[in-house]
Amino acid sequence: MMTTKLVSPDIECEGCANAIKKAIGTFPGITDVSVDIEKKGISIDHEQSTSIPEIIKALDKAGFSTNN
Amino acid sequence: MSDVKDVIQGSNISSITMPIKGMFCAACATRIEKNLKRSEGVSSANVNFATNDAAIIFDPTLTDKGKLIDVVRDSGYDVHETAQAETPENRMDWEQKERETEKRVLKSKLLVGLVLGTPVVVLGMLHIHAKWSGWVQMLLTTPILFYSGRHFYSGAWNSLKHRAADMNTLIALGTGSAYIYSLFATIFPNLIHSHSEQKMTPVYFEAATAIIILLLLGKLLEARARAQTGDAIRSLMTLQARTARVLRHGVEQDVPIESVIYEDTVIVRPGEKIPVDGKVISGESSVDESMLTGESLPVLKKPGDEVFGATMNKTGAFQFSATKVGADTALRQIIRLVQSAQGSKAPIQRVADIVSGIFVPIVLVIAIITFFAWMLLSSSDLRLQEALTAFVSVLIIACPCALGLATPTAIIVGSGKGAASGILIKGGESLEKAHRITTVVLDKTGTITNGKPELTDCITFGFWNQNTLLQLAASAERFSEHPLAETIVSTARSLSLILSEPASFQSYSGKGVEAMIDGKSVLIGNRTFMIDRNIATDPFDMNMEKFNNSAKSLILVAVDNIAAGILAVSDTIKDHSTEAISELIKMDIDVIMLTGDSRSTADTIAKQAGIRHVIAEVLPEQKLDTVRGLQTKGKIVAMVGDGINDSPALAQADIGISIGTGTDIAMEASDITLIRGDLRGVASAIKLSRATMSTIKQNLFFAFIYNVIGIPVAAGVLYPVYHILLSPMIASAAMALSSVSVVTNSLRLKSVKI
Repeated sequence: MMTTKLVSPDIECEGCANAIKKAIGTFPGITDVSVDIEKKGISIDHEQSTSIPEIIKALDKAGFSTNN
Repeated sequence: MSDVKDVIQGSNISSITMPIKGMFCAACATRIEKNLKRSEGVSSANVNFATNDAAIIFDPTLTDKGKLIDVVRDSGYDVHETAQAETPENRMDWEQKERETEKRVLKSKLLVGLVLGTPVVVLGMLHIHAKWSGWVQMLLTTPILFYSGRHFYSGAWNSLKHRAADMNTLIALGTGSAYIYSLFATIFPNLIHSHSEQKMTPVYFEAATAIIILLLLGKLLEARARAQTGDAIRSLMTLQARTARVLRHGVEQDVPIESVIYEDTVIVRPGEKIPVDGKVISGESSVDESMLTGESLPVLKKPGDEVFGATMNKTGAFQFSATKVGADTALRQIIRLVQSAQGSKAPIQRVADIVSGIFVPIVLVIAIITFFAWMLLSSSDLRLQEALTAFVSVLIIACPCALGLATPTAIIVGSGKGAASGILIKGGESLEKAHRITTVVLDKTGTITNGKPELTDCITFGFWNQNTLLQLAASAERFSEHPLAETIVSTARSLSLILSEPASFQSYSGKGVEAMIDGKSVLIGNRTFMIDRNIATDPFDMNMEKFNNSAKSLILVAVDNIAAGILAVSDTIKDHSTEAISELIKMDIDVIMLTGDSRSTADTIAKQAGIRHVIAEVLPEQKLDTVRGLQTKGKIVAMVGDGINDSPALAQADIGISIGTGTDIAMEASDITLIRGDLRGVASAIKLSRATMSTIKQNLFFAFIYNVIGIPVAAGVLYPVYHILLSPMIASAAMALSSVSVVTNSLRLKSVKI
């Protein structure tokens, strides 16, 4: 189990946070996603085996760029 | 029809509009739009956060509705697919049909009432006391009650089931008791009293009949008048053009307005209605926009200018590119706003609601007391009849429907009137609050002034003439991004000056620019810049003095190191600002100008505009505090701005008024939107609010006074002295009249001058 923190400048509101949760929440290996709207941060709890580049790709597909 | 509507535009272009769920801010809309645009086969996507929908143009051979919905879902949002979208048209149609049916039913009920009821009333009035008369009246009255008056009884029954009482209860009790008493008197005359066998016992069939007929007549008149209150919206709806002439693949074709898509090229000839919103590509014409803005003078439209659907093209022909279609056009936004405003409640309505809530039980009690008082106090043989008459009259005259109509009819007419004058009011609450405004705070740039700097003076030295100097300056400034530079370039362009390509260009931040134009070295900037470059500033200095108190920004021009001229740029006051401000002051309203500009510039503009109270050098974020400060002093503050950088202040103010530029009706932050971009609407809006409120108060007064006078008279307080006892017939006529007079009074708002 590990936690990855990402930052996306595209996060603006509650709707964005929901969108992120929906976009990657069901991703294999992800157990929890929380979004800090103010800090534009995404905190992802996931298994060791989960591919971070895949998560970033899924976020990008949903329209969230990440500069990590 | 599904909520998601497809409009097939030919073999390889389709357009679709789908409602989106889950958007919280404009960023959500932008992201969905971005994701849609980059998915395969989508040529354009436009997601509107305000209307919660996405308009997409796509190639059906590459993608389909399902795939597009998937894109939205993958972005983390959802698409509504179930409920039918409510367009103003189908809502209007529905309301229209409802009203027509209501009127038709009322008419046939009234007809039956009149045909059968006239003999009853005649017999009753002629006092034909033969026995047959009672039986005939009974036979004729029964169908009137059970057909024409049925809804009164079913309404009363429904509220009884909910342990409530309303106006139907009063009518049902009133007419019902008159009818049942008369029924007994006719069938078992001996039960009531036993005079002679030949004479008939007095009956009140004619009262029951007349009450029903008069109430139906009142309702019909009221329905007619109420239909008129919606005229404003209806006339807005009919403004829309039905077809548009579009240019597709080089072919002109007439298409229904629904199938015009984003970026279609639309052709408009003189005298034609403009079908949708867009930007002029070619041609020039004057357009009558009075239907949207209330401005009676036609507006000149050139390439680059925006045009709006439903406005009327006057003189020339032009082509434009559609920018807003379907539900996004300014007209449709206006209609939506007005519809929701008309359906909203004003706070004053609560007074009426509370009163109606306790009114009916009180009236019932009064009626019962009246009945027993007559039974106990009257010594006449006919005391049962007298008691019954008074009982029925009290119930009938007290119907509170005028009370229920007092506020909503005025709100509907008031907001409709506003819309017709280019004033959009968000709801009943805003409409009510606006009449208490004591202070109007005006933003300067874009509100009092045009917000676009204009070249006001061009002073030249030596042999330079204005056009050549301007041509040189504009050529040098064409790559500068300074707002003043843009003004110079656009002025030169509008004078059809041909700009040269600078051979070299150098910009010095905060000072000016240097460029080589047609072999001449051109310096443009402020005085410091000229001194830096060792230019003799005497000619400048001699001319700059007179601009000292003018609020103008000066741009100095030197050519080949010699002073050549001064360009003065200023943000000019809008045409009607001064007039509007003096109007507000006349209405005893404190007018304050709020601006981030320097004190001297602000004072100069304020002087021109006739404003005495100026708050200058305010940072955008301090505007909110300024408004709050006024509020803590007990002022009711209206903030007027363009909604661009003053939204927080608009929201903080008691009434936020945004001045529309026509394109975006920024209705979110503001309570009132003025479509016509000038300040005269502020005074009009306050006047409209004042007129609407006084109409509501008059209505409530009418409704109450009828009852205050009517109930005691009906109960018979005048009888002991004047021998006046109101007949139930008169009571029902008075009651019908009160509703009609309230609606008519509201309709009077239409002709109020604002």
